[in-house]
Amino acid sequence: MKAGLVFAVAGRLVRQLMRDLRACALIIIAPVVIMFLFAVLLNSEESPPRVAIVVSGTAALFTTELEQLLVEPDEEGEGFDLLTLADSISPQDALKQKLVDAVLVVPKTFLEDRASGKRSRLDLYVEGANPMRTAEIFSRFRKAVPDSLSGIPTFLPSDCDAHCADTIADGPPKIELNRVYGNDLDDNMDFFTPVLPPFFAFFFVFLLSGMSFLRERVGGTAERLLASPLSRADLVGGYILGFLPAALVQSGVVILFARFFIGGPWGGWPAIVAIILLSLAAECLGVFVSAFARSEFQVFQFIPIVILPQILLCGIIWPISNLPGWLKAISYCMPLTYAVEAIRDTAIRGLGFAAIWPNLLILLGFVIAGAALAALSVRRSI
Amino acid sequence: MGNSVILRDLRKSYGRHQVLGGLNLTIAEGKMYGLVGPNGSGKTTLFRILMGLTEASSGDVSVLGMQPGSIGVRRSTGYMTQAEALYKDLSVNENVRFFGRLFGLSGRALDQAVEYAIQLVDLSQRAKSRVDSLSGGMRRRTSLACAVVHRPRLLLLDEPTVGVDPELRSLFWDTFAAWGKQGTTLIVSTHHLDEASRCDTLGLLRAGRLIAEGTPRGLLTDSGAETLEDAFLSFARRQQ
Repeated sequence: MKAGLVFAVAGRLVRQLMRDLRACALIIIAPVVIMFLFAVLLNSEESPPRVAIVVSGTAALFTTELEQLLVEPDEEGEGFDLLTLADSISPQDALKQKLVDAVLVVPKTFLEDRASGKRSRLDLYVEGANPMRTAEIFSRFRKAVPDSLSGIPTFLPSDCDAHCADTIADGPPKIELNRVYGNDLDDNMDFFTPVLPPFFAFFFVFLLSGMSFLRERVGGTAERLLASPLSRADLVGGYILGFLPAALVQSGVVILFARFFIGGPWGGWPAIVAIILLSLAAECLGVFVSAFARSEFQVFQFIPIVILPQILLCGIIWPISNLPGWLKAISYCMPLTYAVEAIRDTAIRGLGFAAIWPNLLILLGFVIAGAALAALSVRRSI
Repeated sequence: MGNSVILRDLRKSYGRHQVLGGLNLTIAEGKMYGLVGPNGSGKTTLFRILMGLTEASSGDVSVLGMQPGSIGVRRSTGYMTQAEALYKDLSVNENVRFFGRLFGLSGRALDQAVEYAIQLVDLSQRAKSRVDSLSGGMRRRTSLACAVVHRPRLLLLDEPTVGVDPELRSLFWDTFAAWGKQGTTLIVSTHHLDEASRCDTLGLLRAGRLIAEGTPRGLLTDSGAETLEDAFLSFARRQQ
């Protein structure tokens, strides 16, 4: 190895890099922005679960203590928000309408049953789509319910012998967990599996269309195309249609893999429609950003700007409800957010087109706006 | 016979850098006009303005009686860019066919047009070959086939013979002359002065200005030079 030649190559690379100011800026700015996002997300406090307790009769004696235990901060400093449900609304409806995260229904005769030696039962209703959230709520109730019973005097029936008395004193009431959605979820993976296909579709279709259009511009064919009767709209339309089969095949393979190899729900036709719309939006975005790139390297530079923030903010990992307001606003400007929401609604909550159409409509809006932006970016002056 | 291209005081600047400085030019229909000039003299910029790919800073431009870049101009014009501008992972036939379709050809008419264009550039034997397997000269020929597949009224050829061997260059110019006789207007840019002598009219472009214009014989007479190269140098010295 000759030092002079090594320095010549290194010097040339440094000179080229210094002339690519955008790459230089990105090398410095992108990691800072991504790390900042991570820091905000990791430090963002999860909003406390909102719970309601439905109770009547003498059972209120027990719930007064329970309510106090639930609102008290736990070891992690988090207490539940306690809400009151209107009599007219059922626990299931309250959860479906996202008014609360959990509802505990205490039977009117809870204390009497307990006093008569029966192992009483409490019904805990949760939304159930997010297994981690469900586990958090359930475990808190399992701890708080026995604790709250310790201060309640036990009235033993006269025929209750020593063994019977022990059973009542030691046996915590059974808490029956009722999920409105997600009864079929086996584990946490089931929560993530359905959103893998849209993520891959978005990422690869974006890269594919961006690189392909860049090749068109760099190779000179774009100039030739624009000198033909082809309009900018024709060109973008052709790109959308041309990459659609690739997007469909890729999504199909990922869905089949997720369904049969990993297992778990996938969402059916509504999910496929959401993925198609998301892929189309990704294509338009790819064509649009390629107008700002002069090389493949510069297309790759868009990954930390366009792709990574979407992954972090779309709700795949961190629930959007936990994001600070300004990040929430950014999250709702991103197509992946609506696709993830629609697919979780169908795959986990079992909802159909009737429930997810607003998200599909917004995705369609992204496609139309993206196509317009892409067409505008295909400048006559290439 | 009308005029295919009319330029009046055409100027183009990129920031403070002037590329074209007050061009006045009239090119009659069916003529072969040679734009001769060194690299950076403004030939490609002029072509791009004629195709509407870039806008003139000032001046008037008329192409086939229409605005440059209008759909009418784009339908009736063939443009061979300086770059190969081909899809290298497609075959010769697929490239020519694609551009034929862009110009509205289909079915039997498209088949015939593609066959004609490929024959014209003598690539019938390699029609099914992928472009990335062809030599540089063959790629130029494929590019030319793509520009003429729709038999345009006006053909803009930006340095069509760069990288082409002498025998084929001669064939190219014979073909251009034949098209001219059939009524096609050709504007051909080149810095090969020997081949430029095949044009009906030559415009000598230097630093964005037309320093001389006329028939090859007329330019030789006006400059008193024996070759077009000497004539160009003589006009360049006069401009300075």
